[in-house]
Amino acid sequence: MKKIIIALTLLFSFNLHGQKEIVLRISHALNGNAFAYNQNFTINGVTNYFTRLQYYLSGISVHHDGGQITPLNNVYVLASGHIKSYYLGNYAFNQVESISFDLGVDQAANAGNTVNYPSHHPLGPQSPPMDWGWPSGYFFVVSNGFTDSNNDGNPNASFSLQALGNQMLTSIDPIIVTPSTSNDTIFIDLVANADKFLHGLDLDAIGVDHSSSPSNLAMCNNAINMNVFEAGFINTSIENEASMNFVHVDYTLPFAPTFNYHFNSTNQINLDIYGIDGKHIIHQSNLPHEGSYFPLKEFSSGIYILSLSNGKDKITKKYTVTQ
Amino acid sequence: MEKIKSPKNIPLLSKTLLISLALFIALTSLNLKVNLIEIPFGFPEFIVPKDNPLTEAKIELGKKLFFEKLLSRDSSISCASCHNPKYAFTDGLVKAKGIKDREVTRNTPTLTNIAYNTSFLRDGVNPSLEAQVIVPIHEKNEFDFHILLAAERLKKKKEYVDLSLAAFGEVPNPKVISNAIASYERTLISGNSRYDQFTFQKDSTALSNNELRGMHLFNKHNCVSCHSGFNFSNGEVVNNGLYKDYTDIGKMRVTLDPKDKGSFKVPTLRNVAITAPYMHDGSIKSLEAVIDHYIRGGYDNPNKDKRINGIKLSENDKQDLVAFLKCLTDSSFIVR
Repeated sequence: MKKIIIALTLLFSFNLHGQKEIVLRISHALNGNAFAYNQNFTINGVTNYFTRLQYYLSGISVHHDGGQITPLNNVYVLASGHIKSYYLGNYAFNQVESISFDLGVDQAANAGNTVNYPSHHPLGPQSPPMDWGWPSGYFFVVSNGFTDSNNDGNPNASFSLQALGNQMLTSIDPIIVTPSTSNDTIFIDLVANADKFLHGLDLDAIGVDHSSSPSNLAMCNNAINMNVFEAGFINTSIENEASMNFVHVDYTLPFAPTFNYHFNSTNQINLDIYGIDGKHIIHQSNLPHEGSYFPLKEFSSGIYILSLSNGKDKITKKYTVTQ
Repeated sequence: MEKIKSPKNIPLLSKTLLISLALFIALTSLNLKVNLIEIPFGFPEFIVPKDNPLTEAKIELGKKLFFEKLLSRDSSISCASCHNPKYAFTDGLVKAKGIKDREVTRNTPTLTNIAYNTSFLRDGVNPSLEAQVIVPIHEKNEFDFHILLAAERLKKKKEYVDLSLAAFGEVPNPKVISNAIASYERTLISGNSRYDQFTFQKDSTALSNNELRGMHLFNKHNCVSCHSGFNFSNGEVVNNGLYKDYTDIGKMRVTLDPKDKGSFKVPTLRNVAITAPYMHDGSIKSLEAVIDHYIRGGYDNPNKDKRINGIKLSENDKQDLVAFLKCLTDSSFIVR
């Protein structure tokens, strides 16, 4: 028995040896600059801004160590415009050469049910929802925002493109990358040119379109036709780091908003919510430095104050709840 | 193990066959009890998803959740508000009402024998009972809530935590809500109407002459080509010619295929007498008016199903057909 335990321990140690943490870093960009919600950008000669950008990646394969190809089975990424780092798992890779993936969710997973996944899983229930209850199935790409409908340079008309249906799945050919390594982590760096998702689309005319429509298909196909994804990295570590921190309040849900936040420093975040009378309502600690937060607590109608802090920088936002 | 090959084993084989036959007869002379649910005479078994097997604890929790108003944003309505057992799990309204009296897009479909369905919602675009549960919770005109928030509410109630732990070994969460309600809905089996007593339970006195004549007309005029089988539905999604042009485009809403415009799922006719008004939009008030629609053959439109092309019925025929449809009511189902 003792020998078996030793053998298993050695085997386990051997398997772990050489494994590296693989992190996909996606720098989202607008017209070549760092992505931000509510930031104007131009596409098709029209000024627009995003209020929400989310999409799924599945069928991820990593080409490494002299042409070996390892499919990362059951790895799904739910990417958001404001989130850069996505942990893909630990693998025995030394050199990563390229990465390929599908934009969207594979057919098998797309026929499943969100509730069968834990809440932190990319395919689990999301807020705002990344699945459509009516026909089931996931939104492969969600891009919401405002577009300039009267040529005054100010986006004033809302648009909401949310692509669903297996036919939206778009395969991205291997992208040759130049990964960076830090300790036992390999970073695979990609730039996602978010503006290019919307190439050729008349956003004012489209308005709200949550379906398998040609417009949504065009948005997904732009990922290959317009090279939305390419190798690269946008360094946002500018002198005033705090100026890159932000909280975007998304009111898509009727009940209470979702907070999309990003702190440039990787320190963990403390979150507090106060009533307008100063009463402390929620405290959450050790949140990741970028992500989304949905207050899983019932609030009565009123005004509340959100405070996010990483010990060095602090952001407060006022928000409303309408019951 | 002895092989059944040599002639000396033939008597053993015969014995085995006889015992099997006797067991088969014994079993089929009783209602089959499958997965905790009594399967009525003449009904097949239904499929339960492997990842959500039926248990008594799930059914108990699911039933409680089905009637639980906490699942709606303002805690004013539950699943049962629209799927009222008294009306065979419909509501008697043209279109359902959500929170704050918001009008839902369509007429509430019955949940009668929903365990046998393979697609869900009026246009059949939802693939499972479990997935369907989330729909009304998230719909703005129904519960206008979020399943994550609903789970948070339930976590604060000790009775739900206890029931959830007993059923799933987990505190309330989206999976618990969805799988428990789906489990309860699978128990909504209706198979004891007078039609069932006549056809499957072999009670020759269960139907009157008028009703028998109505049954004959139902088959003769090919109603049975869509409303077929033990559950009076072939499960197809078809255009029945209700309109020339449709404001609610039906299945096309999801497929965007013009051929699906105005297509809706063929509903079961079980308990149909108590599920008025009819059609996906509740636009037809009575069974007589539904029959008039099929006598006329509906309105022509490019997608109208070829099986709908008008039928000839006298006024007496119509009354007999209605009488037959009324004998599909299972009173033991609606008092549950």
